[in-house]
Amino acid sequence: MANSEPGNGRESTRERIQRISKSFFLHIHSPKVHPDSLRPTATFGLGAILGTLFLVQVVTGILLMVHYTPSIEGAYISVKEIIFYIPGGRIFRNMHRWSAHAMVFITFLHLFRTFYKGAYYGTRQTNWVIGVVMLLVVMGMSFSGYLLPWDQLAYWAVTIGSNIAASFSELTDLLGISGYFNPGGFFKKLLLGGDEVGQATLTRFFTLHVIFLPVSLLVLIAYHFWRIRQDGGLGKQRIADSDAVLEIPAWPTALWAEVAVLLCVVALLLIAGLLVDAPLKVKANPILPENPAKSPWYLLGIQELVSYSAFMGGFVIPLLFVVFLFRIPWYDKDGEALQGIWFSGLQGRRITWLSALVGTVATIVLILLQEMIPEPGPPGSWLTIVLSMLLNPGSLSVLLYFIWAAWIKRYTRSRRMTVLALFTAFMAGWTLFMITGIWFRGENWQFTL
Amino acid sequence: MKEPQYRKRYSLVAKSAALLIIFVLVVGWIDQGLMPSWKQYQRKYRRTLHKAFTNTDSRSSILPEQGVYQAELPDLRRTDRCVTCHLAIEGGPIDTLSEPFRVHPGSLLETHPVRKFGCTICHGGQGQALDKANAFARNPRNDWDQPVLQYPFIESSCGKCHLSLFTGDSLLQQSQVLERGRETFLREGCLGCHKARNVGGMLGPDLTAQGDKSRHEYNFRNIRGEQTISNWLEQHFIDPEMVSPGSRMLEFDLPKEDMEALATLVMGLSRPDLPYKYIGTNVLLELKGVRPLLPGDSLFAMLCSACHGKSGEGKPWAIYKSGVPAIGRAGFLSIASPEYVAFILRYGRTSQLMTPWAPEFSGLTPSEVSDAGRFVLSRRATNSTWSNTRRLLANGQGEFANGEQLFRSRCLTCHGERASGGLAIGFNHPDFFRAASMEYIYNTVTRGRMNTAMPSWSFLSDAEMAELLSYIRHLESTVDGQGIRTGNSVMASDMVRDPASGIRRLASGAERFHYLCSRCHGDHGEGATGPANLNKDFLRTADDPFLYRTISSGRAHTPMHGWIRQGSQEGGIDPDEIREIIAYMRSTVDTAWEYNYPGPTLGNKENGKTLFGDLCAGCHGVHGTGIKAPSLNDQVFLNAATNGFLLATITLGRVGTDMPTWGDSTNQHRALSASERNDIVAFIRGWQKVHLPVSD
Repeated sequence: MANSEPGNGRESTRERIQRISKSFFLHIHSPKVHPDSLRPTATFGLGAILGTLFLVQVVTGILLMVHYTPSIEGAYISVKEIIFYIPGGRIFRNMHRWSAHAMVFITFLHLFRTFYKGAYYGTRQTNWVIGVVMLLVVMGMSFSGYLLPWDQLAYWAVTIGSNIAASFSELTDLLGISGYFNPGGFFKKLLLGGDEVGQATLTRFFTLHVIFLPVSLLVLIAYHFWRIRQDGGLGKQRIADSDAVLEIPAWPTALWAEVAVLLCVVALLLIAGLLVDAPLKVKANPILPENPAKSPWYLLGIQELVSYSAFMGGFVIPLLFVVFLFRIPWYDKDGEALQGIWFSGLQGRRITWLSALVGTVATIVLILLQEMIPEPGPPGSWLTIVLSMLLNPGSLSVLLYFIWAAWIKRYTRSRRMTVLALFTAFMAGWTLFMITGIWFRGENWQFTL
Repeated sequence: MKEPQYRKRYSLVAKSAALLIIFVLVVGWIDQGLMPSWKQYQRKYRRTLHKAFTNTDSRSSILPEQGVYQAELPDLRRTDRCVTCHLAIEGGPIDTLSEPFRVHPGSLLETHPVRKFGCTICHGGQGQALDKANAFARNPRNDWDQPVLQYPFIESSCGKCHLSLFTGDSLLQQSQVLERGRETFLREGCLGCHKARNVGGMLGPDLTAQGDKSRHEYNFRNIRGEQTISNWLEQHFIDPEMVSPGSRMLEFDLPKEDMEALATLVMGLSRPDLPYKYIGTNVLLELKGVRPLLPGDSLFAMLCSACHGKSGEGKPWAIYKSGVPAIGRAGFLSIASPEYVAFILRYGRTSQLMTPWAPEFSGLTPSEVSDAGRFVLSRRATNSTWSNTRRLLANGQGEFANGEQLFRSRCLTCHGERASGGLAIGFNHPDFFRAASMEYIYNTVTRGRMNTAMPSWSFLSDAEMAELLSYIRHLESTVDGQGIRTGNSVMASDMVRDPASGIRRLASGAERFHYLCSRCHGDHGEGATGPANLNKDFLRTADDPFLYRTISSGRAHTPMHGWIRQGSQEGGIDPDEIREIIAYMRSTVDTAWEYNYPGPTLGNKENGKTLFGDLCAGCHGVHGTGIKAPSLNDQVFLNAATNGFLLATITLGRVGTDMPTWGDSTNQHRALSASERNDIVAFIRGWQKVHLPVSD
């Protein structure tokens, strides 16, 4: 039809639909968004940051991959070549490293935001699950990339990590059945491609890091974005009057918001890449262990727990936590009314605060107690192992968190509050174990100040 | 907030961020792309050459193009980019520029061109780097193990391919510090505890590849000052226990140049992981254990001198807590037999830090081990000769009064008043004097009877020996001439041995010795109730007439009766048979017995225990473990030392140490009688639990 101009009311339906379907931007974004979504403090742009980081990782990753040699003889030298010889190599290697750390950190922050705002009710249950899976994939990406420089830091961190993967064998060894049933040993071998970190491990990790995990992440991201549109945009408050009045066009404001996030993140990463060098130690030496040998910071919480008891710290507690995370949307049946409100209101805020306090104090006390009390029973005996499994700061604090959450449940009779309490206590404890592992563990894993 | 406001705000942020990115990119490009230090150096070099050479034709050919220059060395598994900044290292149009445009000093690059060797193989450092800090890698927190070496430690790199530790290499003459280090290493006796290139002791770590160790394999916790390997080594030499707590290494007090040289040598000890074509043949051979035989004095310096002292003076118990025997002193050398030294060398000392030097442990050949032992004993001073002494004796020079003084001070404690006997044989006997000549007596005194309690008195001068012999001659003249003569005087001329039938005689001589003599003289002639007559020194000293006379006539009033058949009397043996016994005795001089037989144990253990507890335990420990004195319950020691050795040591003490002379009384202690000394020896002998064979 003639005079079919957009917005003049005389567009045909087909034209209107095409205007949207032919646009890439409007394919991913809904045409109208709620002004709440544009407020910075709504989501802090964490998802957008993560998207940017992923993009940066892919670009810098490809630049690195072009110059990297995934063999144990050539890996370290090729990394040095990137730093010294390749123009700009030092910078994009640093960017890759810092954005990797940022990605893990911000994924956790994103998890917190989604959780505390209750963005997992109703149809958003699926997206929550995808998110948790992406958290695990991101940690996997970081861990697999950690080995690739093949320096002392990488080699021994992965050695530790592989031994954590074998945590189940503490139980099978105790029961004496490791000869017949050894999933711990199986996982370690699966991870390493052998009995120790070597060429097979490097090849395996390289494949994971550049093909399998990025493609998985890409697919998950696509699904995650699609589900956001399916679920009606970002999780927000239900308001009495009609939402339509409050909606504003996505183009171009939402685009500007996201472009702003992207450019700020890229700028920060560039500056970091220029100014701060990513760590690199001497070439991996299998006969000269680092002391203390530490896994990457996001795994140090687990390493600390494993130092108390391999089975509890490396298998049971992480499993409990992940199962708990997956379970949250189905367990929490009574919080939907308050979705989109931070901490579901004042009561929730108080309970979160208290749980953080309880989690922190209890964990600190238990860690300090652990330092002061000697090991029960003769070392290596059946009794010592069982006691150390049950009576260590990890197991006891998790037990305490559950008791605390149960008490909150009785007190508030609200599942949302319970879940808030347990989650916060868990994360507070987790952070404390991580801090202990990073700053308070020295040679031979001794507690040093 | 309204939509337009959001839009403005975010677009402003986005645009500012974009500008920031552009700015950072530009800055980064300038800093990394235009201004890296290597490009600046290259520009500076070009400018310098530009200014110096004004002729435009030749100028363009000498100006290096900008770019990264490198030596790719797949054999050495490295890529060295040093020449990117060090543009004139192999020579340039101007050779007087300062760093980094200096020309390499000396002519080393003619034999070690950069395109074949690179730079880092000798100088250390990180060849791949293009900036100074990373290339030099001197910061201990750096991620590179081998920093650039400073003079003089750079000479250690020559050692990688060229150091033959035991023989010099003429190629290394230019590396004076390394050569000095090698000499110091061999002179100070480091191989006494450490092994290097297959030779040395087993107490310290093997140093063959010490130079290959990186900084991370050293513990710098107690090191002050530079955190470099050379500094660690120097401090380690000065005070090993501080640097490596728990170490028992000796402290070395050497001048600074020697310390630096020694550190350079240690850094140059290497088993290089390079293709063979880079390494000198002598080094390859030495690493496999092929080397020339080393003489005894070099071996002593190399292996023994660190602990035992350069002239065998030992280390005092007061200063060094486990003490080291003085093996160069007269007191030890006069009683240490070759068997004793060889035994200790072979087995070491189980309770002390003496490492075994048997070939399988030390990397020495059997001949080198015995050469070392011979060298130790060669220090025994011989201050007289028979011809001189005889002359003095014949001239009547030799107051026997002085000789009597000598006798009383040195011989009386064992041989008794007027040589009438005690711990040792009384030789104031007419039958003895009939058999023994002055030469025999001279030889016995100067040689001693090693492995018995008779020490060697070879350090006595001609005059002293003459005096002593004149006293003994005086004793001879005063001996009661009524000794029972037990047989016909058989003339020495009958002593001619028949060589043709020697072998047949030998067998029966051995049987006769066993049946007739061994009951008193010991199965192996080591002595029982009678003296050790298969003792090698004795057999060397005693001539055939002496032996014949002693066997046939015996010694009156002693258990040794004359063996000669008197007429048709039952018992006794023929002169031929005596000759056979003598022939057998002579033949044992070259045989080595399987064990070191300790000889007669005549004392009472219980008495000895009491005496030991009262007098000896304060220094030697109640169970002989050794507190301020050597340990006596060491099984190797007990096997090496015969009872005679022990008796001699107890009687005479050890001059220069705190071991008193228990044979004489002093202000500090009383003299021990012969039986008391025998009792103590019996007690000590009781600690021996195993019998170690002399050799495999």
